[in-house]
Amino acid sequence: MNPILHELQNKQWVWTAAQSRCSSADSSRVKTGFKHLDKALSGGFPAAGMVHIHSHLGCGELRLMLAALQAQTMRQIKENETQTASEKNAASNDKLWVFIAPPFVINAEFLLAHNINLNQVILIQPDTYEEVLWSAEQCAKSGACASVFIWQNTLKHQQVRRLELASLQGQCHCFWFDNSQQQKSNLPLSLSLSLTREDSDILQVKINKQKVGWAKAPVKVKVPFVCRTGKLFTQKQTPLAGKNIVHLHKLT
Amino acid sequence: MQFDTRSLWIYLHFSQLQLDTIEQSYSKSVDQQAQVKEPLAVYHAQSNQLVQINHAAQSRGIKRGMGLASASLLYSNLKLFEYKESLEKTHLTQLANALYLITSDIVIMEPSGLVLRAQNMLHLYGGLKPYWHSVSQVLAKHGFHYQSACAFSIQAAKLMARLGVGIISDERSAINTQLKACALHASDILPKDIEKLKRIGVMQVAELDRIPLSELANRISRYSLDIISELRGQAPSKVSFFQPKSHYRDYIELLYEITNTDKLQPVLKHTLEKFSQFLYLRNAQCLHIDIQLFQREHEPMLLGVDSAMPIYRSQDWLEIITLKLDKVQLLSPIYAIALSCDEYENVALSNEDFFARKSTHIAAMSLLSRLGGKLGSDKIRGLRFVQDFRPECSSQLCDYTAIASNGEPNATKSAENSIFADRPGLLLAEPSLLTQKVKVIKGPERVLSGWWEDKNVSRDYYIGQSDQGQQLWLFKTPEQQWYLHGYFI
Repeated sequence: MNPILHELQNKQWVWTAAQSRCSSADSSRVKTGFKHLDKALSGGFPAAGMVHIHSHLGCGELRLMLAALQAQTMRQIKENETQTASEKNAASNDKLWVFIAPPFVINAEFLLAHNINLNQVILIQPDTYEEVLWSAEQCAKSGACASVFIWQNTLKHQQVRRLELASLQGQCHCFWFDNSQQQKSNLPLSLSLSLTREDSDILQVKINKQKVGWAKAPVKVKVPFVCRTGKLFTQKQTPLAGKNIVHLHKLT
Repeated sequence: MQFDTRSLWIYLHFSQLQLDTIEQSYSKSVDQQAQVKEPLAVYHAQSNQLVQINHAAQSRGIKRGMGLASASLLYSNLKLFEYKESLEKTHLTQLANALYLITSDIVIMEPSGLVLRAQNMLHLYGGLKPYWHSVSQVLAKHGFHYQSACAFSIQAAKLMARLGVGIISDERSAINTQLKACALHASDILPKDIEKLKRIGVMQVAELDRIPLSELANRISRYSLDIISELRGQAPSKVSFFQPKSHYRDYIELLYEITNTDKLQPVLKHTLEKFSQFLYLRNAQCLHIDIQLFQREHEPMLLGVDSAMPIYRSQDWLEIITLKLDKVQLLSPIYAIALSCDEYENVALSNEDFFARKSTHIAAMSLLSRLGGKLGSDKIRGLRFVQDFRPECSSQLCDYTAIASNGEPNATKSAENSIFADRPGLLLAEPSLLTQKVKVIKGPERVLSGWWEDKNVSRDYYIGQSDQGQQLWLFKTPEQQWYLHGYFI
């Protein structure tokens, strides 16, 4: 092989197409919980790095990932878990969820519904744009955070790169929510997704960019509300009604 | 406290404590060779004398005790510092603190002397030689010039140390021969009594010894008489021993005024290293320190620095302080800084094993301290869930220290307790009037609460979807007005 190419490959700057197929079985990827999406993302979300999500505010962008992230932390706990209960407690107390300058107030009930321990949630409300980036970088590289969420419409190439490196260093996810109009390309991200809502339940996920992998067609994903009352109605009542009908028929 | 006349004492005389500290800070801050060659002197304004001079000044013919005029004639660029007794005192206390670790009884003789009671340490160290060895090692670390002497009374040791003729020995005869040659003028005997003694031909200790005490009694004052009897080893000395303070204070005068906070870094680093040494020796950690920046033309600025987790290492503190300093605006140049810590706690012995609580806890705590230091701790908030049906009341921001203590019981309650899980991720702080076209996809859910207080809520909540696919949380008031209250992210 060409020595230059070999060197580039060693530095992981060049990926071969063959690699992408193997990596679909890569255990380090975080399973999204949606089969089609997993396939398109060659196994799931990257284990760490910066993820760009371009969508309108309120499309279910966070719900798409929360379950997967929650599962990832649970899995890590299981891996670390040995027999004693105290250790389990300690491990589950571990990593922080940091929300930096959210556009509105984060709802505690929503997080509780997703089984997130509020002790691990931190909200940061810096005054300036620079402070937002600084705190995001600090959190990402500290190694103490599971995920860092930022809401920004404009990030420069260099700033994205810094955050990407920081989150790789701290082994965490840095989610960048962006609801601006213009498309961004060529940013050094681990993953970039565009979300649009098709129906009340269905989200269309377009993969703008991912490390390792081909360009894929948009994937449709069903992201329901985590709605307990709703579930009660849909799952329990309809079969009951069906049963009654059957009974009625039998009686007659 | 009184002591018998058989105790062995060591007197340490620091002849140029202030000058030494000045020279040390010079060599730390600037290029060493260039600066210490410059003649420096410490000037005592009241007596119009140069009290401490360095080698470079000596080589230009300047002598101790000279007036300002004659010194400036000899060398006009002589750098002068005003003599400060308080400064020497603080340094003496620091030295005493350092020596306290290896020796038990220390007396501070202000302004420039320390007395160690060697007698009771001899047994521990197995003789004077190893004891003196460890004492001199501590002294060498501080790098001050000193003259030492050993004697069986404090006054005798003091006299010899001041004259610089002291020896470190516990042989009575050797000490006595050394003492006998000493001139009286360096002792504590009052100057007018020295004059009187001079008239009767007594200049040295040896000559003094020949005269019985009773004969001297009607010639000189009572005070001087006590000193003479101590010198002879006939009376015990009355001293009180040094007790280390339980709080930490440090004050550093800067060599030049600093206007830029970046330049404070090296000074702070040095100060914090001393502080961390203080904590380390006491097996202690602390949560809060105060730093005072003395400004030339304004009130001193007080910076309280907090850590989310008890720490002692200077690097950790420096990291937080640097962030804090970034935000500080200096009104006028700083001429001194002070560091103080009133409360510290002993490091709790934990029998957790190494792997149980992984290092992420420490990482999280130091992250929080860093963020709090830079952004201000009011910008870092935790989240708390309160059992309330009104959505705007159920999520409350709280202090992030709750996270540090891990003590919030209701925060760990999981989804089982909240039946109303159909809640948006983002809530508007104030519901706003709905202005866009939406399609209702779920609802209604009626919330009627708070009628017992001002925040009365009576709403029918719906989930709606806009044309852009945004899922919104809406409510309708009894007045048939539609409001937007949240986003399902």
